[in-house]
Amino acid sequence: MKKLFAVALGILTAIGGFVDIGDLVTNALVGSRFGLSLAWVVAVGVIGIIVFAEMSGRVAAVSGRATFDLVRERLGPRIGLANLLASMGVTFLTFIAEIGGVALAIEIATSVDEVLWVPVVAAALWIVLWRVRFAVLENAFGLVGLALVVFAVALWKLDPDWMDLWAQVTSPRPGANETWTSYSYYAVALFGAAMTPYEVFFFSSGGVEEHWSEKDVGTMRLNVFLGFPLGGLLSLSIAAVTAVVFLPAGVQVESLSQVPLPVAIALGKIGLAIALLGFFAATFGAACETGLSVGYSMAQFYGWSWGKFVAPRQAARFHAVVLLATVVAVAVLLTTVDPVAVTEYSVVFSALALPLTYLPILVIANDPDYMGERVNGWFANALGSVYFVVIVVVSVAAIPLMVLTRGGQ
Amino acid sequence: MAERTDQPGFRRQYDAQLHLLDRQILDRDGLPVAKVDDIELVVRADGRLAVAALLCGPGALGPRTGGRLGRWTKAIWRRLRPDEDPQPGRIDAALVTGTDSAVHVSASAAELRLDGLERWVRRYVVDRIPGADHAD
Amino acid sequence: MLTVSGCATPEGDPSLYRDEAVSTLSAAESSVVTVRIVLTTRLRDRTFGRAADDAVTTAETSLSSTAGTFEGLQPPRGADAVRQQATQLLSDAEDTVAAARIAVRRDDRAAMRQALVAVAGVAARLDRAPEILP
Repeated sequence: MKKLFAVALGILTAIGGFVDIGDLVTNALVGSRFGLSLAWVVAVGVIGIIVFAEMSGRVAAVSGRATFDLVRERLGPRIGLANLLASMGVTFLTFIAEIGGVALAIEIATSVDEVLWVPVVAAALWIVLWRVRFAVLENAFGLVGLALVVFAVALWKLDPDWMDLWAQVTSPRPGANETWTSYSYYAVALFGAAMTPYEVFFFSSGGVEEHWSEKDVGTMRLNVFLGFPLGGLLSLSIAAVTAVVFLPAGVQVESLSQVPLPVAIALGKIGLAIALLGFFAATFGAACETGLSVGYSMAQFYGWSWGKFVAPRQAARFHAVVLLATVVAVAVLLTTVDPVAVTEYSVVFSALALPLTYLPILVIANDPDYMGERVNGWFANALGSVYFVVIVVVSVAAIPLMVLTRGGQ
Repeated sequence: MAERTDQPGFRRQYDAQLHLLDRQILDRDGLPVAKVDDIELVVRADGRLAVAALLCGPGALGPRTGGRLGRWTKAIWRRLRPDEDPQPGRIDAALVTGTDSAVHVSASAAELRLDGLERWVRRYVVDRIPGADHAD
Repeated sequence: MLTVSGCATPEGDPSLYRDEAVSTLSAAESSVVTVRIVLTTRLRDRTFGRAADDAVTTAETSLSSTAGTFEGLQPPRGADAVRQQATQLLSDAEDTVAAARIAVRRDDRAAMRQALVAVAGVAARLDRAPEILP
């Protein structure tokens, strides 16, 4: 019974923790401009993250080491360093976006400008990272993040033309007002939002934080195979509600304050309050994850002690990096840069950095030195290789598309 | 390849690149010390190479990374060291007790004295914040 | 002759300028319709005052930024009529959205209803703009 509870908790946390500011903004924007014609990208992205998360989780459980920890060993210091810079850079950009996202969520509820909330959010965030236990941190924000289910409920309440929505899903092409170039650009953005690199570092390092062993592989797989697809469905429901309310009205989502409007229309003030709670939990949780991931990447590359499972003074450099990252993130946000713009850049740069960040996982999961008998089977390798090709294509297309569409216009 | 006969920590011939370099070094309590940033080799009497020591820190990693970045790393590291001719952090091969997915050494991290940066950060940053000694 | 071969004129191509006007008005429509939706939702008491305030203020900021960018563009010869009509529309949009923001912040339902009518009117004109722009 206790085991069942633990498994359920894991799955629910995975669902609620799946959506971050990148998914929120990108799905809402895409729904308002393209309807559900890009839904297939979300599906492809979710399967991709499942494949690689399972590999990196298995690496952590079987070898007791986090995936990033092993990158330098397998790929050498030069490629390892390139990997570190790309991963840390993108994760740090995402970290800034997440803190901005929390501030925006509070702005919507209070009507006080997000810039004023940034220092408050960052201070609260850092205290949480310093003092709150890892398991509590994961479970709390993951579970409260389930509040985003309100978007699926709102979709139901809006009583849309389901046949029309399905027609959008099955016609993967830009509509009358959009071009193939912008369609492709947002396909890249959605893919980057679904497969953000920090998710696999964090998943793997989190496994080490929680002292996973080989017997945890089954539970880990359950979380990944059940939790992530349901999380993906949450993302799609956000796209669907904006498709139902905004697309026919000619509204393009460009700020977070527009995103909960369909929920307000469908479910009133209570629905709106739940949606805002969901935004807060999703972005704050993701801010914790990306903040820790910046520290994990650097510490694991240089061989420093890291993690919350030791006292902070035993992992001083790790905690100093996290602190420094938080301070710099606040400084960036205090320049009044629009967090939504930062988010849009972070998902596209995530797409750009994907090959460099995902190749090592594939390499390490195939290494019998670390994995023993639990190396990738043919199926995992087949999927991993196919996805690797997809990732390279997306990465190569990212910058040209960004230039051609002038950042998505 | 490195030979082992008089080095109990190394049980077999190694492809140093595959089994030693860039490995995590764990101390006798299983805590991370550093990575094997470079190794010091010595030519034995019979002409074969043996591992004399593991080298750690930017003084070792810089030159091994090579290129301009590597040279800058080493130059900055040299500036920050007070000694005239600084040597990279060194763990004698005799201390190595075994290698699996990491390299295990018989000393504790504190005894190895490789953690200058860690101790500096601990003293001037982390220890000044309340709650620094609470583990999860 | 010179205006027909638009690319030869130093200030740019009038048809490109018109395209820019259409896209600006489309972006403006997005902000204005957002305000319309917020007003409707607030009047039906389906959203909090603060959330409505935030949404309207954000739309207003976005609208004035869009309008400002367009108004700063140098119109090519022969595009003055386009500019005049577009900036008139944008100005009306900014006025109605500002009135909506004032009404929402005061939580003045009568003023909100008035603003809603005005905003809906501007939204309809913005929607027809691509056809009626010269």
